[in-house]
Amino acid sequence: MQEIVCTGCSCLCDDVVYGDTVYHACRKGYRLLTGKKEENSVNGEKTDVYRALKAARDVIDGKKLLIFGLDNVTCEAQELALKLAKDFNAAIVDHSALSGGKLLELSERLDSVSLEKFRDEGYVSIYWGANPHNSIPRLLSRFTYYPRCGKRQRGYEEDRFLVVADVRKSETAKLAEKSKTGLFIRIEKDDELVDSFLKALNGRAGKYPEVARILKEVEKAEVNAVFGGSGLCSGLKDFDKFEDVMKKSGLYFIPATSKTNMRGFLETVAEVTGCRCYGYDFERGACLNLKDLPEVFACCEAVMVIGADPLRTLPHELSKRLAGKVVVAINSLKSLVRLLKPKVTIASTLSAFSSGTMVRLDGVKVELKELKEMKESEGKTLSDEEVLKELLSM
Amino acid sequence: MFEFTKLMKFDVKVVVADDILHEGDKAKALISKGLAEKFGIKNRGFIRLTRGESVCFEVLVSEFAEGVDVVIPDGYFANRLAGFENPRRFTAEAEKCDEADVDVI
Amino acid sequence: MPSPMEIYKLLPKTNCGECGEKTCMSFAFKIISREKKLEECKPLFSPKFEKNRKKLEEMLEIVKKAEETGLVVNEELCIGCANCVVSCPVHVEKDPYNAAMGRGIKMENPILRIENGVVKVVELNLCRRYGKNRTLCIVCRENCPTDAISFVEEM
Repeated sequence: MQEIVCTGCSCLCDDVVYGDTVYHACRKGYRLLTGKKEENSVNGEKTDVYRALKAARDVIDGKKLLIFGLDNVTCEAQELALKLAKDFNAAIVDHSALSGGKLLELSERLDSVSLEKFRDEGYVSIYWGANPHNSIPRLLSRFTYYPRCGKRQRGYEEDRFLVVADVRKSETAKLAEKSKTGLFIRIEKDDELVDSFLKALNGRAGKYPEVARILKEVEKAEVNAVFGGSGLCSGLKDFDKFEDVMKKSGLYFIPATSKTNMRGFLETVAEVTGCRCYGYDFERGACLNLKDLPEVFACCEAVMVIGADPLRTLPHELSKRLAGKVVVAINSLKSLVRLLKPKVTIASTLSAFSSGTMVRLDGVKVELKELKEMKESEGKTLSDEEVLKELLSM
Repeated sequence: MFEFTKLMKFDVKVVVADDILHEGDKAKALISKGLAEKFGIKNRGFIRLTRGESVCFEVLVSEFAEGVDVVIPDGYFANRLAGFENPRRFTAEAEKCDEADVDVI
Repeated sequence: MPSPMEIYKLLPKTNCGECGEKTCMSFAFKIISREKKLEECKPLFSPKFEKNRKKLEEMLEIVKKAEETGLVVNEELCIGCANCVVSCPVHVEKDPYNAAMGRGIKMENPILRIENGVVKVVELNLCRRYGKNRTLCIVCRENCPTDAISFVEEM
């Protein structure tokens, strides 16, 4: 039994105990930690990792390459993937352009706060277009609502105020509605809620009168935050107005993106390329944005999927463009990538069992804890970082 | 008996949401009371959503804000319908059907 | 969780008293609180009521799973968020630096613990609903986002 960092979502819980029984991991984390492991193969036939590595290198040599995925691997592996992309003049993207990237961009422009500080001092938490019970299941119990510590010793019943703004009564919304110190706003258009905030800040009433109460509660404490989820990202049209609300109300902003290390990927891309963007095309020397994706997916000859399952996570409009390409998959767990009939599959160690760092949703770097004793069923595999190092050194 | 509701087709607003229990691998969805009434679905039923491709979902009736008709779990089935520009919110055509697509294994 | 009225509707409704209760309604309440067993209603086991009996047995399957305190955990619905573990007043008192602060519970035999992705009942004797001085604490149920936790009524 060993304590590990769960890499099931961007909460990166560092208290999970892994052994024959897995303690403290949520359903999402447990599913990841005990998922069916991938096997090394070339042309569908099982092989050892070194043959697979050689075949992978042969496949990508001289081809127009797209490297995709990377949200579930360590920052160190992301850095090496970027180096590989640079060496091969390849394009490299994760999922951020599709969902979550905008939220992370916002968090860089707005005041933010660490989850530990929020746990100790946070009072009002507003989940806007976010349902953490499905995306980041332990967020409320670990950090934002239930813990009793720091200045919040009297617990959630008296010491925290929970607000959920969503188009539907999600699991988190049900809790807010039930709570004596919470409320649920069923929103039709996100921009109308922004407008209500702006009006309430000027002493006027908008479409959602509940906002006045929220602002009153906000005055009671110094640390209050909006947790923006994918609903906010896809529903909001005027981001400038939203920023205005955040600045005027003194609320902190924390992006509730669930992809494990998406924040790490964007930071690594910025470090390596000097550009704040969702991906990079080294052949053109240009940043990649959402509108570039169809062309990038269509034009490549070979695709290297790293720690991802494009058929589950990419809109079919994009993933169908991968059909017929030469695919190299570097994955820890079995996935629908098999439907793309990959030329080479390299089984890597799950990031939760490897060493390295990842960036949590609030921007805090978390050191992973390498699993010392691999169970027999885990098999001996290389980490994503080691796989990429090998590919670079060939 | 012939069901007239099977001939009906509506443009519906779809929202994609995370779903930890099904992880998008099961074709299960929630539909608004309004849409359920149009199709004559009481608590549980089946609808086919089409946006380029088609996916048949098992649906349960739920309550949403005005302007949302169907909520589907993020994952394989949602991505078969979603566009890349706003994969979390889009419009699709809905009609009644008899069973849901099989789970992803 | 079935209500006493749902149970009552399927009973013979003759108030025969064979079970020791004055009315079928009071028998229905005691079935839910597990003070009586279905087998104690003799007429229910005659062929006339076979259909109803089968329905009742199906309905009461969940009550059988209830622990001493009436707690029923539906693991299929649980997402392992640990709201119940962290909000439990007993855990807060006995594990102030872990469970109370949101971290994985470290006390040796907690009431609830997340194991293999879902909540498991470990030690019910500590629950405030248990024993002589029991209270009707419902904190874990109230904070479950998926209604995976329920209590058998009328304990």
